[in-house]
Formats: sequence, C-alpha cells, structure tokens
Amino acid sequence: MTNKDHLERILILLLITILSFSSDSFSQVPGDCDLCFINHLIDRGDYNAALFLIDSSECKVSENNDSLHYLKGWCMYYLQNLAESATSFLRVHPSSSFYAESRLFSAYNNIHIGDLETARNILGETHLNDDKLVSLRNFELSGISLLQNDLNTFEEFFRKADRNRYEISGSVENLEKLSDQIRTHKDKSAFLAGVLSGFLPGAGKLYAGKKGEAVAAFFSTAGLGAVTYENYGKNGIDSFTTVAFGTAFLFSYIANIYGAVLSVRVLENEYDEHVKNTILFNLHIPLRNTFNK
Amino acid sequence: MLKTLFFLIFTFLSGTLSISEAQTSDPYSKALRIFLEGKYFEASIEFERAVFYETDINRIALYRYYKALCYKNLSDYPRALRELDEVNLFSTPDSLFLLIRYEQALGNYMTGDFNQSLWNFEDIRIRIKNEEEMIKILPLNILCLNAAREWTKARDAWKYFLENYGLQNDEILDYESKIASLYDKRSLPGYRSQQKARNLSRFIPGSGQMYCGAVMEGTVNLLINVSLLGFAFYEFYTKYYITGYYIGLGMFNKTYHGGMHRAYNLAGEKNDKLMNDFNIQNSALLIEIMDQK
Repeated sequence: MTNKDHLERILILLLITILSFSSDSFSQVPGDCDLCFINHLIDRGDYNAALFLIDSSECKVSENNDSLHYLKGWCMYYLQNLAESATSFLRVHPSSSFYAESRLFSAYNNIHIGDLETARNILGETHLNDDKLVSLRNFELSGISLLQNDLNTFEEFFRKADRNRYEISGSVENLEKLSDQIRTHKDKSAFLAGVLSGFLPGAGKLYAGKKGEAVAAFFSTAGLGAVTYENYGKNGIDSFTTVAFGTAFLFSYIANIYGAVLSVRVLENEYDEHVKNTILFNLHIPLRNTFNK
Repeated sequence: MLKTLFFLIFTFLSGTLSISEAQTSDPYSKALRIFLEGKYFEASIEFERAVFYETDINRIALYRYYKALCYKNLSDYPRALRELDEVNLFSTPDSLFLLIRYEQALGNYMTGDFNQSLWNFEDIRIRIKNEEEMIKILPLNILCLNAAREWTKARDAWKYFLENYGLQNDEILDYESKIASLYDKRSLPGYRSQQKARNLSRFIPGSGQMYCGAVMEGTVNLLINVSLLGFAFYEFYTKYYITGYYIGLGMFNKTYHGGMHRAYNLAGEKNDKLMNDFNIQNSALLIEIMDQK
C-alpha cells in the first residue's frame, strides 16, 4: 500500500467520523417527544396540548422517562385531574431529581381527593435526606391527622415540623389556630333546631345562624296561619277556603321544621368544608414555597 | 475503487441526514402539512413548536396567525383572539398585518364585540392603502357596521363595495335598488330599549312584553296581574284583610316584578333576533354578488 492510499484511507475514516458525529446533533433537533417544548406548553397553560404530546406514540417509546411522568403529573394537576396526577407523580423513580417533589405532590393530591390513608403511606414510604423536606413531610402528616380529627397524632407530627423555616412558618401558625378552634368547636343540634321551629316558626333557623331565612320563614308561615285563622273565624271549619289555607299553613309549618333541621346539617357541613379547605390550603402553600411552583 | 467507496459512503450519509433534518427540523412545514390535512388541534401544537424554536419576529407573527386559524377552525374564537393579541405588529409586512387584523375583526365580530371589530377595520384602513385589498374586507365590515347600528356608514360601505367590485353598470343599479330597500327606514331592524320595556311593565303590567312584540304573552301577564289585584281588593272589600294582603298582594308582587324582569330580557332577545335576521339578508346579498364574479 502506497502512502497515497494510506492517506486516502485516513481521509475516508475522518469524513465518516465527522458525519457520524453530526448525526448526534440530530437528536438535538426538535422531535415529537421534546421535553423542553412540552415544558413550554405547560408554562403557557396549554395542558391539553402538552398531554397530547406526552401520550403520543413518539413519547410512548420513552415511557420510562421520569421527566415525562413528572410533566404528565403537572398537566393533570393543573387540569384538576388529581387522581391521575397522583399516579403519574408516583411513577417518578427515586433516582430522579424530581422524586421528592413528585412524591410530596402525589401525597397532596391524594389528600385533596380524600384518600388520606394512601397519602399517609406515600409520605411514609418516601426516602428524604434533606431536613427541610423531612420537616415538610411531618407538617403534611400533621395535616392529614387534623383532617381525620385525630388531634393526638396531629400534635405528634406537628411538633416535628420546624416552624422556623419560612416555607412553612405561616401555615404552621394557621394550622395551630385551626386545631384550637376544632378543640373548642361544639356541634349544633339538629333536633333542638326542629323543636325550636315547632314552637316558633323561624326560631330553628335563627339558632342555625341564618337570620334572613329565619325572618322569611316566620312571616310566610305566620302569614298563612293568620289567613287560615281569619277564614276560620268568618267561615267556620267546614269552609273550602279555611281547609285550603289551613292545608297550605300546615305544609308551610312542617316544611319550616324540616328546613330548620336541614339548616343545622348544612351549617355543620359548611363548617367541616371550611376546616377541610383551610387545612388543604395550608398544606398546599408550603409545598409551593418549597418547590417554587 | 477506494475513491468510489468514499463517494458512495459520503453521498449516503449526507443524503440520509439532509432528508431527516428536512423532515424534523422544520416544524413550520410539518405544522402546515397537518393544518392542510384538517387536523387543527395537532396543527396548533406544531405551530406553537414553530414559534418556540423561532427567533425572527415576523416569522413568529406568521406562525401565530396560522395557530389562530387552527383555533378558528375549531370554533374557539376567544382563543384565536388571544393568540393574535400576542403578535407584535409593529414591523410585520403589510400583507401579514392585513391578515392578522382581519382575523381579529372576525373573531371580535363572532364574540359580539362589534366596536372592537370596527376598531380593527379602522386600523387596517390607516395602514393599508391598497384599494383591491380594502374591497376584500368590506363584506365583514358591513356586517359589523350593521351590528353596531351605524346605518349611514354601512350604506356608504355598500356603495363603495358595489362601485369597486367590478360589476356591470346595470348590475350595480340593480343591487343599489336592493340595498336601498334593505336600508329603508321601515326595513331596518327596530331597536327595543330594555329599560323602556321594563318601565312600561312597571306602569302597565304586560305592556313591556307587548312593546317587544309578544302581544299574547303580554296579554296573559296583564290578565294574571289584574286578576290577582282584583282578588286582593275583593278580599279587602269583604273584610278579609289578611287573606287579601298575604294571598292577593303577595302573589301579585311576584307576578308584577317577574313580568318587569321578563320584559327587560325579552327586549334584549328581540334586538338580537332582529339584527341577526337583518345581517342574514345582508350576507345573502353579499354572497350573491361575490358568486357572480
């Protein structure tokens, strides 16, 4: 082999190598499963478009990609599909940099949909090394206990949460105040509301704290009672008008008692809902502060 | 032999890479292809990808315009408008400026914001001096002027359209007479003031509905109110004061105020219907003229 042939061989190898390397940069060219672009869609609030790409056949190839599960979790979270969001977040592998965030948000999603035991298990099984995250986990666990009205366990986890950390300090105070309120809260009696309305129409609703409804209930029932009395006084018990207005009065009177019982139940439900929303809000804020979401 | 091998390898690798890059590195071409296939949701994602990887402001404007067209084809006018609002029109070429402003005018017309639509047309007029282009925007401009009850301007726009659309003289005369009868004072859609309808029903129950053209409904409403008022006064006359007050006046109060509210809504519905019918007549005439050419 001459020197010239040798040089040509080297040249060919060099060219092939250059062209092969240039094919590596092809992978940088935007393709369908383009995580950077999917993230951009989520930032723009175009969650359905992002989901469409995540679920596309191109992305299915790399379905073990933690970033995909993480991004899908956020899409579902923003679309208020919290159960799906929790499932996607759970698929993120412990080796991923998104692991802690995904697990904590998965737990939060389960708290939000009312699956408190799953949320507790997720938090319990999550390996966390950072003190800040451990404190956050304890705070989330205390919130779960408060939602379950288990004040002793609440205290146990609540003490372990570091209230000096700015991410949780405000929410810690709020949850502490709320736990005090829960301790002193006394349920109103639906039975008592019914009895009160039986004696005086509207009194049961007043007891339930619905002043406007109480006044309206009193005037409508008392009015019909007065109309019945007037017709009874002038036409007697056998009169059609007395029977008709009497029936209407009786209907209004019974409906008023039933309404008072319902009012107390609604009041208690409203209180429970208020407590639940306050806890959820205060569990959410530290998560967002910690992960800048 | 070696040289032949070298060129074969070189040609193969270069060819493969250039084809692959052409297929994937040009999101705009891909988006356009999907758009032409009628897959508008998918195309909107690809146009957004084109925007994401583009730095040239005018090309971004073009991609956003196409993305807005995708939403328009999906009948999502508010989203199309949001997309077009993001376009920086400062340095866009006149041709693209015209397309974008026209789509904005159409979107605003479809979402009922006629004044904003007219503002879009004014902006086109200020920047675009080409008469041929101006003729193209006139049909929608006429419908917008009608919707805004700008009758004189709408007639002027019709006149300009007929004179410059390239019709024969006899055709122009024929259409001018049709336009004259369409815009005759008696043919124009009447305007029912919602406030006036409510006030009429305030003084004479049912008259507000009659003012809106619902004579039967107004008559029924009047009869119900008169009957209840008559019942109340009869009860007072026969010294059934409580029955007269609670049953007669109580029910009259409900039907009287309900009738006023109904008259107010009816006037709005009537205005929309009359305007819709009038613009359908205009559209039919515009289509007839454009089909002739």
